[in-house]
Amino acid sequence: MNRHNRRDKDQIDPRLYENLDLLRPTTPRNPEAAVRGRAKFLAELDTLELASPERARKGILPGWMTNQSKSSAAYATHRKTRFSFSGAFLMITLLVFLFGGASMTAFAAQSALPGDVLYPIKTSMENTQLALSTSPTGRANLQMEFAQRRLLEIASLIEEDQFQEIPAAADQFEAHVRNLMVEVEDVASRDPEQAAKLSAQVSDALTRYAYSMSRMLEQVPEQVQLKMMRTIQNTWLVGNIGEIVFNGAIDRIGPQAWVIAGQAIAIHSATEVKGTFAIGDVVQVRAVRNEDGSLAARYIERVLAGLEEGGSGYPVNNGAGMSGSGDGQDGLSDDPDQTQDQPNTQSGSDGSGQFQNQTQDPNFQGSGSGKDSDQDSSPKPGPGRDGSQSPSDKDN
Amino acid sequence: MQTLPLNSGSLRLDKNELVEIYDQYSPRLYRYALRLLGDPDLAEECVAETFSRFLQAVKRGGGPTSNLQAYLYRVAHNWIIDSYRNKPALEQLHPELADDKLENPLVQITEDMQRERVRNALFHLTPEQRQVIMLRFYEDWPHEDIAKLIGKTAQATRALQHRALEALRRLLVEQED
Repeated sequence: MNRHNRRDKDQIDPRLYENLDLLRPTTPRNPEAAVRGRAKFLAELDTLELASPERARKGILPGWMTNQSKSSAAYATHRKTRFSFSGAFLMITLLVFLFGGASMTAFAAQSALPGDVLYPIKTSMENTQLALSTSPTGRANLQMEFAQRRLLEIASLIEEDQFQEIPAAADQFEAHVRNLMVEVEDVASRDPEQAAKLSAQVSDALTRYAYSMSRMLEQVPEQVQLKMMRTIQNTWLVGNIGEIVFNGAIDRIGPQAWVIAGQAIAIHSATEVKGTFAIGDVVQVRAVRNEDGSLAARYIERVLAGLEEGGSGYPVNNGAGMSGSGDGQDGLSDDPDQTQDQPNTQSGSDGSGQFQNQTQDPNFQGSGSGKDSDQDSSPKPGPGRDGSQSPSDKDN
Repeated sequence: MQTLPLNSGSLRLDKNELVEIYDQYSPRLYRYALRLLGDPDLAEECVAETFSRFLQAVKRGGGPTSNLQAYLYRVAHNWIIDSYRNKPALEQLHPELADDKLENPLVQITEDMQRERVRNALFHLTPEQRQVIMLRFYEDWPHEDIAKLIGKTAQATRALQHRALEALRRLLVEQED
């Protein structure tokens, strides 16, 4: 074995070997520190009730009550108290069990892992906490705490090679995340301002959870990896139901969806739009993420006019001071690359309900209204872009 | 490498056995931690934390059911990773090691700094690569045992070793050229 080892190392670049070798000799351990460490270990050992290690696994009753004694001789020198089955003592221990045992059990349950006998107690304690909570915000915070506990349990399971318990813990984690989002929606319907704060916290937390789980992936066997990856994905999906806000330039405008900063965003009847829009404009988007991961816009507001040649990119105005060479209309008709219909012809032919909805918003310049002059504010002499919104089926 | 027999079922250890485990593995874990951390106090803390977690696991009735040694090294390594995250960057500790200063012949690179540099390089590896190097190079573990610890095949650990050495070579040797 050793020769094999040496052969491996001989293949190392000698300069690298030299470097690594620097760490080989270690200064001797401080004997006092070593003794102190050992004493600390022994002290901790003493606080553990190792009289019947079966207790946590097999039953709640302490071993001495079920008359099972396990190598008690080994403990003779370590244990502080010795148990004897005298009547009075039994009485006392019964009382302790009845009144103190329950809380001791509950206390012990707190560190239980999936698969432990006490774990269901931990679960029911968590459910009790939820039931006692009076507000969705409180419940949301509890669900976040419980989700985190599931992650810690998974980490412990990994360390102990108890991989078979992980999928169930991952499922529980997902359940917590789902319930969490339900609470967030609840808060959103009552108190939008608090909901915004809560959403931010939740997004933070879920992001952390997803990254934590990703780091654990390399330590688990393949089937568990698959399970955990699915959990991570679901966390991203479910968790992102919170509102997403971002700014970006409009790449494309379509009747049912726009493309902003490369991201397809669905527009629907409830979408609130502020300002007039042209490709290249920078807008602020508030969107929610659907279950399948797609985004639906709740609100779009123009922030900057498009920064094309001749444009100067200052906020919302309609053509004032623009020295650009093209106005929307000209750009549209001159542009050979134009694949979209002319706005004036569009309104009649386009029967899409979406488009109709868009014109309901007074701020929204439907192309049928013939107000193309408003498009002048964003001159588009440039490459192939038109200056109006021209919904066409091709956009989708 | 397993010197203590363990039941194949749930972990059943009495206190005597646990003390034996401590006495057997504590020195090795200390050296392992010291190599990576460079700080005796931190290394002691690592050992203490590792065994504490072990005791907590045993108390729960859990704990490693087979490879105890692998478990202990894993826990220790995890602790080290966490503790290293909080360390200031190498250049803050030793400004002399900043790239532009290395050229300067007046700068004395002490052996301490050199060791720190190697440690720093080790932490540029992935956790698995680092484990392979630590256990193979410094502790002479056979590939099969390392493979069991990190949960891969022996072939995979050889590949990891190769990549790790390449990365370390780039970090430590090519810099000097």
